[in-house]
Amino acid sequence: MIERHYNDEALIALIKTDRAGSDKHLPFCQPCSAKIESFRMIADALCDQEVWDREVRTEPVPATIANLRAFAERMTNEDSRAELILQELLAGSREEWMPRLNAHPEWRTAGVVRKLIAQVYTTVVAMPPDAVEIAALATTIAEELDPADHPSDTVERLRGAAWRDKAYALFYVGKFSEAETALLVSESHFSFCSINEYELARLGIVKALVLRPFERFSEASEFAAASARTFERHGDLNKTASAKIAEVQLLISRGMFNDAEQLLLNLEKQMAAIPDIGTHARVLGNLAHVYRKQGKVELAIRYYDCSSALLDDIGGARTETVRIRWNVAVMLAEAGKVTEACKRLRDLTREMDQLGMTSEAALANLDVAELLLVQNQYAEVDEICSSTMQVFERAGLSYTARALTALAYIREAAMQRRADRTLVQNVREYIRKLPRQPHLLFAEAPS
Amino acid sequence: MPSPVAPPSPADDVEALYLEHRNLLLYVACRKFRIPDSDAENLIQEVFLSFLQTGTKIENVRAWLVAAMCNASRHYWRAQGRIESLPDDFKEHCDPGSQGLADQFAMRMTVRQALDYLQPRCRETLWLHYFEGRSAADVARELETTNRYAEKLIHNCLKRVREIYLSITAVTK
Repeated sequence: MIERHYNDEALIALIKTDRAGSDKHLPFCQPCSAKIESFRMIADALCDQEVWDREVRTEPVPATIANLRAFAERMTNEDSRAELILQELLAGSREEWMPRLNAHPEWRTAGVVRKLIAQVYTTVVAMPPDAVEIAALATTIAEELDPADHPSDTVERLRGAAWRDKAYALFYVGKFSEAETALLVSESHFSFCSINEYELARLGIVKALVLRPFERFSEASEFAAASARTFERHGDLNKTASAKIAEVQLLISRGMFNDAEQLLLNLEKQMAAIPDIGTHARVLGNLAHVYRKQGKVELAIRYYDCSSALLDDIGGARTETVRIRWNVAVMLAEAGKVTEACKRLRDLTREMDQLGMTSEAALANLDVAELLLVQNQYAEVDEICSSTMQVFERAGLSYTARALTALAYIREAAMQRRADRTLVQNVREYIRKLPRQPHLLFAEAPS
Repeated sequence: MPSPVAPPSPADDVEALYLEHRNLLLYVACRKFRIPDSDAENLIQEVFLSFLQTGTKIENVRAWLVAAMCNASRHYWRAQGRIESLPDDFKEHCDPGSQGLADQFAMRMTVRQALDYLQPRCRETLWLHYFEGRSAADVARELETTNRYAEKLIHNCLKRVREIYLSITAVTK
C-alpha cells in the first residue's frame, strides 16, 4: 500500500483552522506530524516581537576574548602548581596535613582550594574522615584568600564551594549540626556571586540531606525539589536525578513508600539518558530500600545486588557498598538466616571501623548483639559491647561519653543475664539519634 | 613526518565556546531580558567566568550557558532596581523555568535570522498576518491584491521561511 502524506498547503490549513487535534492521519504519521509541528513552531515565533526586532550586535568583542583567555590560563597555571603542592600536603596521615599547611603559607592559593574541593567527593566515599580534613584545609585556605587578588567573584565562589563540600563531608560522618552551620556559611558566600543559581542548587541537595536527620522533612523536600528544577533548566540530567533521589529519601523517611517507589521507577526509566553509573546505582539502591520497607524481600535483594554490582564496576565507593551489604545482612537476619547474617555483620563492622564509620559500626555491632541474645550467648554480647566501646573511645566524638554509658548498660545487663532484644533495640535507637542529638540522655524504656 | 598537533588549551576551549555561543547569549540578554547591548557583553563575560569555575562536569554546555545568562540577567535587573525603578514589564523578564529554554531561544534567534533572507514583500505579509494578527482579507487590502492571492502569499511565505530556517539549522548542525 502506498502511504499518502499531506502537502504543505493542507498542513498549514490544518493549523489555521485549528483542526490538527482532531485529524485522524497525523497521530499515525511521523513525517506529517513533524512537519506540521515545524510550521506551528515557526508560526508561533512569528507572533513574537523578539523575532522582528533589529539584529543585536554580532561581532565578538576582542577584550572579552582576551579576558577569558587570561582567566583560563591563570586557572590552568594555578591548578598545575596546586597538583604538586597537594602531593606534599596530603602525604602521611590526616593529622599531619593541617600543621604542614600552617608551615607553608605559600601553599594558600585558589588552585590548591580547587584541587582540594575536587578531592572531597572522591574521598568521602572511600575514607570519610579524610574528606572532612581535606574540606577543612580547603575552607581554611579559601577564607584567607584576598578577593582583590582575583577577578570577579572568584574568591566568594571558592569559599561557597569549599564550605558546601565541608558540609557534605560532615554530614557523611554524622556530624549533622556542624554540617548545618557549614551550609549557612556556604550560602552566605554564594549570595555575593551574581551568577549563583546552579551553585545554590548544588547546595540545596546537601541541605536536603542534612535537614533529614533533624526531621525537617518539608523544608528539606522544598530544597530538593527546587534544586531539581534548577538543574533541569541547566540541562543537567545527572544532578536532576541526584536532587530527586534526595527527595525520595525524604519520602522514605516520612513512610511514603509508594510515592518514593513511583518517583524511583520514573527515574529508572530515564537512566538511559543519564550516563553516570554512580547515579544509576543510587537509584537502584534506593528502590531496593523501598522494596525492603514494603516487605518485598526478593525484589529488595535483587535491586541491592544490582546496585552493588554497578558500584563495584566504578570502584572507589566502598562506604556505599558497605551500607548496601549491611542492608542485605539485616534482611537475612529478618528472614531467619541468623548464622549467615551474624557472619556478614561481623565482617562489616570491621570494615566500617576501618573506614571511620564509627556510628554505623556500633549500630551493626548491636545488630549482631541482638541476634546473639536470641541464642542466649551473653558472653559474646559482653565482648561486642566492650569492642564497640573501644571504637567510640578511639573516635573521640562529641557524644562518645553518652554512647559509652548506653553500651555499658547493655554490658552490665548481659553479665547479669537479664539483657534482652528490647534493651538492645533501645540502645541502638539511642545511638542512631546521638549524632544529631549529641546531648540526648539515655533512659531505659519502661518494661 | 608531521609534528604532533598539541591539544587545545583551556584558553583555546573557552574562546571557541565564546565564539560559538555568544550570539545566542546576547540574544537572550538583549531580546528576552531587554538588557542594554552595552551591558550585555559584561554579563556574557561573567557567565563564562562562572562556567570556568563550576568544578563539575557540565552535561549540556549550551543549556547551562543559557540558564546562567538568564540568572545573570535577572541579577542585573535586581541590581538596577536598587538604584532606579525597574522596567514595567520586569516580571516578563523572568524565564518560566521551562525545560529546553536554550532550544527555544536558539529557535527564535534562527527564525529572526531567516526573516533577514526573505523578500521585503514576504516579510511584510508575515508581519501583517502573524504579528499584527490581520486576516487574509486585511492583508489583501493592505497589499492591494485579491483575497485568494493574499491567502496564497501567506502560505508561500510561511513555507519559504521554514525552508530557510531548515537550511540554517542544517548548516549549523
